[in-house]
Amino acid sequence: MRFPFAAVPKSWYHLVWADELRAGETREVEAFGETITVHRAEDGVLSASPDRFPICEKNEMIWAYYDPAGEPPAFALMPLPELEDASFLPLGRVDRVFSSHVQEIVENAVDIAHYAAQHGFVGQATLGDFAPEAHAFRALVIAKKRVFGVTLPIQLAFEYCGMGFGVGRATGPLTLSNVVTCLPIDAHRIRMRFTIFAIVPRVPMLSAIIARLLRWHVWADVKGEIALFENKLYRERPLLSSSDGPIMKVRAWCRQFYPAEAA
Amino acid sequence: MNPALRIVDAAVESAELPIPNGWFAILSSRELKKKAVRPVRAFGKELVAFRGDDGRVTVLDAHCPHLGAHMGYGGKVVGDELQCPFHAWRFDKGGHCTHVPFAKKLPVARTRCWQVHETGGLIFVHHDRTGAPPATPPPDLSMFARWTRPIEDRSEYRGHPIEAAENVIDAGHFVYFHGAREPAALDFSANGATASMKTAFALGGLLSGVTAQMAVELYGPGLLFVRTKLLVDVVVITTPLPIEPGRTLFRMSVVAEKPRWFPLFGRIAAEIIRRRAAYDAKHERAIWEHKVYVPAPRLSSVDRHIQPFRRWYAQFL
Ligand code: FES
Ligand SMILES: [Fe+2]
Ligand SMILES: [Fe+2]
Repeated sequence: MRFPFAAVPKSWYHLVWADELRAGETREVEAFGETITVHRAEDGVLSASPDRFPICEKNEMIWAYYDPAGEPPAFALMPLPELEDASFLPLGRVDRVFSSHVQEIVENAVDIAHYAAQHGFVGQATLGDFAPEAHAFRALVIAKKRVFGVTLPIQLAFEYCGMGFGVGRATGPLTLSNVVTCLPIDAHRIRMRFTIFAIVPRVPMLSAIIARLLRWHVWADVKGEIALFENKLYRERPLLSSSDGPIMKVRAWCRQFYPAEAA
Repeated sequence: MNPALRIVDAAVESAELPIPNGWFAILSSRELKKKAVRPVRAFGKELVAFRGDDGRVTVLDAHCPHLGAHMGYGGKVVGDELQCPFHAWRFDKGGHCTHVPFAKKLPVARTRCWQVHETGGLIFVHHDRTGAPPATPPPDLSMFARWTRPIEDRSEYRGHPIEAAENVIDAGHFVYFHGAREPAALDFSANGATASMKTAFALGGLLSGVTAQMAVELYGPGLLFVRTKLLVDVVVITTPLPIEPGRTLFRMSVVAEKPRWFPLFGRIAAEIIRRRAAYDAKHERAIWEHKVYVPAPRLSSVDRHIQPFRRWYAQFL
């Protein structure tokens, strides 16, 4: 067993983007160790088979709620203000399957010590605050980052809602939001998807070039990290140093999504 | 019941032998250039090998004691130390953590360090299931320093490393596998961690009348030489590496003497033998892959060396 907890914590998980399922269409999605068929009737009504999982459409995505005990959803999905804000431009999407666990991705957000080595941050990132609140948490990472050879101050605000849905909002010289959704496929693999938005100058041609560069940058930023996730070991008792983020606190927050251990 | 008539039931009699203790080649020197980092799977474990600026090789347990990254994927050599790709902690040649970026106090962290010995173009590490220090000195291939550059060949098979060694002292199979006219006359002797075997066998078929000479030297469970002569001395250096229980990496490296009369001939002789050895190994691998290890085999008089060989090998298990 690679991970000391269940493969699927109870949460809402992103099955498909809404525009991948038009009226009258059916799609098969590998999730939770089985194949889920989602269907959108001509009248727009969604259904899924097996029908054990509550499904919904929110934030231009179709979601399924997983609970091993079959309880109704314990929380609702948070809204994405980027979708209501006309200044945000959708920049693109990333869709990757690899061997890991959804909790690794959640922990990674508050792992401030990894930003320098993995994401080109300059100097030590600091954590503005880490605020867990029931099924959600917020965290603020303050740092400097090299983007295309220039060192710029950056703030990264994370917001998580359950284990499968997070947003990283970068502000500074650039405003970019990355919606990170992770779907457990089976006991070994997850599907990680990014939906990227940014405020870019609305200048014909130029905005297309900037959009392209940013999309490339976001992907280049995580490419190397995927090999890391695939080969790492999950240490239940890591040896931490004073430069580490609130790893154990975020782990404590995660525990609510797993069935209580039969001790 | 006549025991000779007993039917060997693989399910009952085959045995899973443990991973042996001893020196094993994990990489060839060419696979690890200066400043290079490589993941290595051996003995059922994940290891990382790197070569520092000083040219020395270090082998450590691969997973970082911090948050568990595999340092063989994305790790970097800084001076003579290895830097983890995840949070850039650094580890020295002894596996001790020497640097944590921005930490006020250095944590006492260590990842296991393996005993390494590089010789003759191969990187050996010592494996012991109980962690005991090596009982035997590391292999020494320096006698081949003036020979031809090794020609390498590698493949994997399902099975225990003992199969590769037992094969070379198995007289009966020379007839079927290596073109001998009759079972080879063998002379097996063991001495501590080394053992040797000499054989001369008459070849059949086209080469009938020619006598092939072969000497085998075994140095523990991880290294054996097969010496033959093709006008010059040619040695097939074979190093079976247990990757994990039931899987072996079979590495051959062929070297030949450079004759004064025509140094290049050494290279030609080595290449001829390498082809033959690779061809034989390919066919024998099919047997090793599907055979089971029978601890109490039914043997004929031709096979009289099998049991002394196994008694010798048992010291590594
Ligand atoms: S996991 Fe190696 S430095 Fe953090
Ligand atoms: Fe990251
Ligand atoms: Fe053979």
